[in-house]
Parts: sequence; C-alpha cells; structure tokens
Amino acid sequence: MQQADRRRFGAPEGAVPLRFASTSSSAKPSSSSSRLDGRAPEQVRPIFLQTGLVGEASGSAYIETGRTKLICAVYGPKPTPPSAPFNAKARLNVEVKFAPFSSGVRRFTPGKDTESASLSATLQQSLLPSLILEALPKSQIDLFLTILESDGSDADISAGVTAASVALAEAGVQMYGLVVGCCAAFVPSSPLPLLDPTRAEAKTATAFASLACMPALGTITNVGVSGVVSVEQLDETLQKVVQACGQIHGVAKGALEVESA
Amino acid sequence: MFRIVTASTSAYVEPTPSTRPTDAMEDILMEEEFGADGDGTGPSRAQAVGGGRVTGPGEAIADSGKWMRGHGTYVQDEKVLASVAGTLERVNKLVSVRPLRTKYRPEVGDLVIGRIVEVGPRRWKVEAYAAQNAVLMLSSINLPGGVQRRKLESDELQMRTFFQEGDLLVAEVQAFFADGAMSLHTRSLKYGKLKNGTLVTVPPSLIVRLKSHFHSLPFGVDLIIGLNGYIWISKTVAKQIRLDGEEAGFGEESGEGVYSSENEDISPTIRMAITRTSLVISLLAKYCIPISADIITEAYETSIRLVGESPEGLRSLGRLEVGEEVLRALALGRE
Repeated sequence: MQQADRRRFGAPEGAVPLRFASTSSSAKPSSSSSRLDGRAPEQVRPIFLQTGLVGEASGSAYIETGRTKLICAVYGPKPTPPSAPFNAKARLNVEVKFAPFSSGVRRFTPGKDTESASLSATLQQSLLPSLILEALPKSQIDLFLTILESDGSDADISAGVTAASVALAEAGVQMYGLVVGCCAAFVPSSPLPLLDPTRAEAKTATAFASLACMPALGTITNVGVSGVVSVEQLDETLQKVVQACGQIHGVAKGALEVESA
Repeated sequence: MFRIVTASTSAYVEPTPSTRPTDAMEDILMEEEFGADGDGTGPSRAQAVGGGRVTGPGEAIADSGKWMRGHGTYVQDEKVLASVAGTLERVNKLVSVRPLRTKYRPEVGDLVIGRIVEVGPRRWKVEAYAAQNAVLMLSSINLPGGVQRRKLESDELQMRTFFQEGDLLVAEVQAFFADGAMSLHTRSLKYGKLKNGTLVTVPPSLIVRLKSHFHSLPFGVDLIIGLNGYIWISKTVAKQIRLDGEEAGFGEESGEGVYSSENEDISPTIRMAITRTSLVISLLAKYCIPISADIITEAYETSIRLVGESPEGLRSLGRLEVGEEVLRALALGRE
C-alpha cells in the first residue's frame, strides 16, 4: 500500500469524499436568445468590481463577471533592486497566476504553465501605453493577477486588464486613462458575434477578437485576433467591442470613485 | 460599492473611435464660474473645486490655456486631464488632483520618519514610503556630543555605530536627487534616532500639515507625526534645559546617548497609553479621518470615557463595533 503523503493534511478516519448531487445548470438557454445564458449577442455579463481588498498592496481590485473571478494586486512603485541596471522609466512586472482550483481540472503547478506566461505578456502590452512611467525613474511596479475562477482565457484577460488598470489607479500610479478590456467570439451558430463569451461559447468559436482600450481618450492599446474572419465583420465587431468597453469603463470609474469619495 | 452593467442602463457616454469622447465628458472647470482670483488671497488657500470633486484617470478637468497643470494631471489636445483617481484641488490658476492612496510625495522641508534599509558608502538608504528610498548622507547628520566638524574616514568606518539597518529615525527633507529620491538631514537637535516607542503607519494623504509635528500629549506620550504617514509614539522624555534657557533635544549634553538603541524603562501605564494612542490612530486612519495631534488627543480621551482605562477595555478597542462607537462619540462631541 502506498504510504500517505506526509506533506498533506490527512482526512480524519472514516471520512468519505464529498459527493454532489448532479445540479441542474443554472443558466437555462432561453428560446429567444442564441446564447447559453440567455444574453443578447452584444450584451456583456454583469460586473462586480471592488477595490482595496488586499490590505498589504498599494492598490488592488477584485472583479467578478459571470463565472470569471480575478483578484489583482499592485505593489509599488518601489526602488529597483541594486542589481538592476539604470532605467529612466519605471518597469512594470506582470505576473498572472492560476489558482489550482480555477479551471475545472486541477492545476498542480500554479504559475508554471505556458498559458499564464502568454496572458502576462498580453496584459503588460495592454497596460503599458496607458501608464506615465517616465515620471518614475529607477522604480518598478509589480502587478499580480490571480485567476480564482477561469471562464475561458479570453474573458479572463479582458476582465484582468480592467482589474489591473483599476488596481494601478488605486495605487496612485499616474496614467493617461483607465484601460478596460472586452472580447468577442465568432460562432457558426449565431450570425452576430458574441461579446464577452463564456468558456462553453468559446469552445465552438471559429475566431476570437479581444481588445483593450482607454475609453476616456478613445485610444486602443491592444487588439488581438485569432481564427478566420472577414475584415468587414471584424471591423463591425471591434466597434461593438469598443462600445461595450465604454460601459465597462463606467463601472471601473465608479469603483474608483466609491473608493475615493 | 458595485454596479451592474447591462446594455440598456449605462450612464456612461459611449464613445466611438472617430468622435473624441472628451467632448461629451464634463469639463469640470470650464463650466465652473469663477471670479477673478488674483486678488492676493494667498497661494496657501487651497480650494476644492466643485466641492472636492472626484475624478478618474483620463477625465478632462480644464482648458490648458486658462489653467496651469499641477500634480496628478497631464495636458493633451489643449486640455488638462487627470492622471490619477482622486479629488480635484485648485490653488489660484493651478489645478491638481490628489489621489487618496498613493506613495508619499516628498517636499523640501517636510518632516519624515524612516527606517534604515542599507548602509552604503558615506550614506544610508532610508525607507520612507516614497517611490524611491531616501538617502541620508554621513555629512548631514550630527555627531554625538554636538561637535561640528568634517566627517573623517574613521567616521565612515563606524557608520553602523550611528545608524544600523532597521533603525528608525526622524529627519527633514533637505533636497532631491535627479531621480526624485529625497536627501534627508538630521542636523538639528529635534531629529535623530527613535527609541522608547512604537511606529504606526497611515496613508500619507491623511496627515494634516501643521506648523509643528512634534507633540507632547498630556498622558505622558510624545508624538512625532511624519508627513510620509509614519507616526512615532513614544514615552515623554524630560527635556534638558541648556544654559541659555533653550530646550535641548537629541544629542546635546546627552553626549553618547543620541545614537544608542537602548530603550529606557517604560512603566506599564505609559505602555498602555502608547498602545491606546496607536489603536486610536489606526482607527482614525481606517475611517479616513485627517490626523492631527488634536484629534488624536480627543479620540484618546473619548476612548477612555467609553471603554475605561483597564487593560480589558483597551483590548476591546480593537473590535470593530467598539471602534465605531468611539468615533461616533467623537463626532458628537465635536459638533
């Protein structure tokens, strides 16, 4: 018999694993909508956004939209370690981590997967144009995004961009404007692209478009498109995504105002 | 605390890439009707515009032709825009945005409290809640015994006898380096190493700027309120009186004692007073109440009135409901 792993807390004697009764899916597809949760194609999921949850951090934000749940913490600006070379601009270090329980299948080595590395790169790319890093020479800003529950990586990164920007703003980092993200999936079953797709919707998609923008300035900071889609349809979709970003910006700004007021 | 967004209910004006959304946004200062303000009302009279209005990053605040941009703003397309989330402030023609939670932004002459993090060549690095560590040069400290002379190589070798890593000190901001780091000095009897007390940290924006930040509270507690949000609470030390009648501070007459890290005996009553003061300060900071010695004293006395002087009462002060009760009583007492 295999020896019990001493590094784990063992269950008490006679314990049996939890068994869940099969629950009916909370999202019943409505007859009128083409989407699984009954939303209109261009409707984004309701957003809960709150700042200041991580007391230790200079700024933090928690965002929950549908099943996507993320927490973002910003530490800094702080001086770079002596080993780092001189830099006239502050450095933004971004780290995306998946909680072990975040995505259905258990992740055993959080932070060591390729997915989080690419998400970090996208997140950094989306945020960098918004920050006034010239004002902070020889400094660094550490940003940690923990994905508590994932509902498709496109939705994760969109919500992540919004949360990260709000956390940076709460930390008092100077920026040109708040960055918010939104994404769209093109699915064969719907003539219209689906905004803010869930994982189930994203599974059947033929193409994705994700976008990060500063609605206050009308500037786009990052666009990513994958899959096959016509240029006209893409153009139309991106405009819809930018519109949705305008709404999300209202939420982000509201969360900051509640904090400041 | 949170808002639900649906496609139908959005208060936000939806921008499209082709039309600049700044047109649709409120131009707060442009709409405000101000009289001429060049009447010598004084630059120190900071005035909240639009009742301390809260802005977010990227929000247009004013016309850059008529207004000067201050901290927390930037100029784009002849408009002054906010670059941080915070409250709008105006001094004559200067508009700035003050963020609530941010690192300390030093100014020359500020009193700060910091902690030594590094001993370097002829300098100490001091952590003082700014974006960069502050620098304390060997040449800008007072030598024990109050002697004034050039620092020698032998002083360089015994820098750790003055300040070690982890030591707390109170100093004044002397100047800035090119990268924005501040240079400190302790060349006054008021400044120097801190002992016999405890440190409390609060957001720097809560500290009220006053003439003096050294206070001796009536219950045997000394208070040093650093503008960087670090507050030192210590046992009151008896001030020695010099021959010329002035109060001596750190350093003078006490000779070697200045840089000693040995705490004096602190009686249980004073310990309780220090603990109560620190609890009261944390409580005020938690509810974003501007912190000054007056309000700390008042809150201290209110807390004694409500929970008593016993250790049990002091312990209960850490509880949320007790803390709120104290603040409520404090607010009623001030009306």
